[in-house]
Amino acid sequence: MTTHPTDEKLMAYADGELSHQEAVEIEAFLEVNDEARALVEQFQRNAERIKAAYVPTLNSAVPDKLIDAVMSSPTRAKSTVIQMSEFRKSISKNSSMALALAASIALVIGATAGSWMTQLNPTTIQTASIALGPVAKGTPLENLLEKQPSGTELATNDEAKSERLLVIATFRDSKDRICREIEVLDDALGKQPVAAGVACRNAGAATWVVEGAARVKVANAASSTDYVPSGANEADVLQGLLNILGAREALAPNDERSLLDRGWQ
Amino acid sequence: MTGSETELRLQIVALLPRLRRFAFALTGRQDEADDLVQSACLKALDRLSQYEVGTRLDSWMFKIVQTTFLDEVRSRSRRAKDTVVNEDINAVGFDARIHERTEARADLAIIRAKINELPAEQRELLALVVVDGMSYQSAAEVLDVPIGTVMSRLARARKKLASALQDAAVHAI
Repeated sequence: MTTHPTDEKLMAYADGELSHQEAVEIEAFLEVNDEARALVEQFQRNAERIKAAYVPTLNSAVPDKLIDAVMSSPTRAKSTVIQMSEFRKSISKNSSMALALAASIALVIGATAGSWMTQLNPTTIQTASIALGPVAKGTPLENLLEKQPSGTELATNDEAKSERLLVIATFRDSKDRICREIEVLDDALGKQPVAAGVACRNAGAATWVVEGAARVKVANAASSTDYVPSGANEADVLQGLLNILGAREALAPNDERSLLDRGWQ
Repeated sequence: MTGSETELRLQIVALLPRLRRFAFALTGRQDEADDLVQSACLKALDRLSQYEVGTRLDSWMFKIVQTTFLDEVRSRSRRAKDTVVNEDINAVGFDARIHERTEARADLAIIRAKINELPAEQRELLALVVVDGMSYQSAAEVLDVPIGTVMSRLARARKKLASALQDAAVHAI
C-alpha cells in the first residue's frame, strides 16, 4: 500500500471490520508508519476503556419494574402459551452448565408466577405429568423430589403413557428455598423431554409445590400441533429466563447429597 | 405469532442488560437510562405485531430505544438546560482527589462524562459499536444511515473523545 489509509480505515482495522485482504494491506502499512500504528493503538486502547466504563451497568441487576413491564404490559396481539423449544434439547446434553441453565428455566416460570403464570394456558401444562400446585404425598413425583438425587428417573403413575419423570438439578431460588427442576421424558419419542417444570420445597410444611411448568416443543413429534414456528432465538429465551430469576447455580452433587441426607434441612 | 409472544417478551428481557447499557451511554444517567428503556419497551410491546419474526430483535429494540431517546432529547431541549454533565464531572473530580482507591472508578466516570459531552449522534455510534460491540453494518441499520456515515461519524467521535481524555489527564489503564 502506497497511499496513507484514511483514519476511518485505520479505525475499521482496529475494530476488526476489514476483510482479510484489506487488513493485510493495513498491517504492511503499519509496519512502516509509526504514526498510523499509534493511532490504531489509540483506537483499540480507548475502545477498551470506553467499554469498561459501562461494564458496571451491564452487570448490575435489571430492576424488577423493567422486567415486569416487559412481561406484563399489554400488546395488541394476544398470546397465552409458552413454548420452550429447541434449547431444551440443546441444554439437555449433560454439561453441568447445561444443568444449571436447565434448572433455571423452569424456576423462572415459577418465580414470576404471580405476574404472568396465570396467562399460561392451563391445558398446555395439564398434558404433562406434572401439574401446577402442591405435589401430593406418596406420588412418584413427591418421592422423586423429596428423596432422589438429580439424575434419577421414575415412572409416572399413569400406565397409559410412556412418560417418565427425571429430576435434573437442585438449586436455591432468590428466597433461599430449595427448588428442583424436573422433566417429563417420553419413551415413545426417544426419551425426549416433553415438559419441564420446577418445584420448590416449603420448608415448614415439608411439602413440594410445582411453581412452574411448560411443555417443551418436541422435534418430529407425531402431533404437529406441538410445533409453533417462530424466529425465537432459544439462547435468548434462556437468557431472559435467567435474567428474570437472577438464578443461582445448581448445587454440586455433594452439596445436594448432604442436603438430601438431612431431609433438606 | 400467538405462541411466540411470551418468547418474544423473554427475549426482550434477555436484551435488557444491553439495552440498559446502551441507554446509559446515551443518557449518561442510570435512572434516566432505566426510564428510557422502560418507555422503549412499552412502545415495543405496543407494536410487537410489527416486529418481523426472523429479523434481528436486538436491532429492532435498539432502534426503538434510540428513537425514543431522540424524541426525549428534542422535547427536553425545548424545556430546560441539562446540567447533569457538569455535576457529574465535579463529583468525579472530588472523589478522585479524596479517595485514591476509587481512582479507577472515577476514571471510568470521567470517560462516561466525556462521552456525555459528545453530540447525540456521535454518542449513539460509540454506544452501539464500541460499547455494545455491534458491527458497522448493524449500527448502520439501527440508525438508518449509510455505513460510510457510520465510519466517518464514529472516527470523529473517537478522535474527539481521545483528545478530551488526554486533556482530562485521565490515568491510563
